[in-house]
Amino acid sequence: MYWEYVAGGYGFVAVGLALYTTWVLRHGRRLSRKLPPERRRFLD
Amino acid sequence: MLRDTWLMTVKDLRIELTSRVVMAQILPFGLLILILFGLAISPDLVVVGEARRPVIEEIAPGLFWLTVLLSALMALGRAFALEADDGNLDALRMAGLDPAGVFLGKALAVTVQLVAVETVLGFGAFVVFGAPVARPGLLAATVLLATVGITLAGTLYAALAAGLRVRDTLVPLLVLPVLAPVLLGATQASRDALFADPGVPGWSWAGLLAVFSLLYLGVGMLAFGPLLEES
Amino acid sequence: MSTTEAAPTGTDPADEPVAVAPVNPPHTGSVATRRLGLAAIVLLALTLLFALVISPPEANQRDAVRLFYIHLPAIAVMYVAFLITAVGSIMYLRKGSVYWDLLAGAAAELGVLFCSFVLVTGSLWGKPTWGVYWQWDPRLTSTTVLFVMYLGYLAVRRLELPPDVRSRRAAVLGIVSFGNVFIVHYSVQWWRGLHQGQTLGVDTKMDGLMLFSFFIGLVAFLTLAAWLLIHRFRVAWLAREVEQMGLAQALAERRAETDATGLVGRSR
Repeated sequence: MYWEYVAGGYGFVAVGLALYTTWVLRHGRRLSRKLPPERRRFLD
Repeated sequence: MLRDTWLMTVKDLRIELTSRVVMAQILPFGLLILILFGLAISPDLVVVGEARRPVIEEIAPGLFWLTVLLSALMALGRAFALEADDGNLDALRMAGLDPAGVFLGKALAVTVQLVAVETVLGFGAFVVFGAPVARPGLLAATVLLATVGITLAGTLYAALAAGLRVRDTLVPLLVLPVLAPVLLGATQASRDALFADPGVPGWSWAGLLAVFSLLYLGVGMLAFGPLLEES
Repeated sequence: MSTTEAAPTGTDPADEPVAVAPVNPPHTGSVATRRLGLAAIVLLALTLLFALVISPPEANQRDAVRLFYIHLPAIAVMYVAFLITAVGSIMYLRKGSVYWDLLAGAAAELGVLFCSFVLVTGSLWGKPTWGVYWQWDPRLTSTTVLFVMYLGYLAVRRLELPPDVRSRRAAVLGIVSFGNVFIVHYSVQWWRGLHQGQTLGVDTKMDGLMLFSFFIGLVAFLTLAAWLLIHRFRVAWLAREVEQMGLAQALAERRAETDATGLVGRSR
């Protein structure tokens, strides 16, 4: 019972996470290409 | 610091006396909003409860405080529009004024203007909405505490967007969620003051307003230094 | 998430066996994030399995209880994220290190995202349980106010200001906003408490399997959030580098121009 609400909730979260993750990763790639390799360093 | 506060307050109030923006533009705006609320909510609708009274009278405190919030937003915008031109904020900093004093001065000036606006709006609401006043002392305390809370928090947030083109759209977004507790407290306390509502502890809500004001007094005095620096 | 391990690991042209200073790849991944991302995927798959298949429906809420297995973890991530924003803001004001500022911004964005998950799953849970999507429930109301408040924070981070001025204003806002969370929550709770007794809670008896499903959801969401936070931080860092490089380039061009014409250019 109430599966439609469950599906809606899980669907929203899945889509939201997928869109945000894609945006972050692609944005990261686009920005790194603009930089020379020696400047693409992070503190890790 | 108190001297700087006084200087800022007097400066802003003098500007208001010559320009009359708050009294001639913001106050009529507030009155207009009150009338529009009256038009939007039919005066014939009646609350059928233990007390049979018009809906508009029942919700008058909320409408009044919403009107005050909207007017306060405009007054705050005005207060910082004064400083935006010609790098005035930099000039204030260079003049060696204490940031905490600048904060308190601006907040105090807006408070004085807003209390004046609220007094007129209050009479307007009394006439338009026709609510009785059961506890005038509580009402006065509520008006004062809520106004101080609105201006202290509002001054802090308005300074965040000072001198920016997006100020007019950004400040409401920043200030309104923060002032949600003030709207709640002021509305509840006013309800008690007007109707002597037994279920609403008016003085406790006034206490919440006082705590809110004190918190923002401290935060604003601490935070105004970093905000004014190099802005 | 799946893009982490899909990222070309060993295909870089400068991938020599003796890597003294490895050439940085054109993306925000690293060995650590790849492992973390893999762990997040496995944990999320387990969450789905336990939350949707293995755990039983609840007596009163039936299958709607399954929304809790992502709702509560999202709340946890949201509060942790906003706490990181506050801590990052304090540290930025104290140390002036740009890393703290970028961390605060990355965490706030994550917090807003998960806050939207909290609101949507919460109201979808409310419809079958309360009968309506929206209730003037203290937690629901104050979370919505919180959501708008942090949208304002993100708006301040996008202001067109000198970077250090913007960072300082954002830091002040990041600290004050976290304090506001408590004021708003307390006042709204008091307001509703006076009007209709208690919060509209539905007593849920969590048995072992349900508790475990919730627990694994919590771990999965926190892992995923850590992975996202690291990547988002690196993106913010790259964006700052690009901005600074652009500035240096523009300055160099301007200088070359003035040298060529022999005029002292008025930079406007």
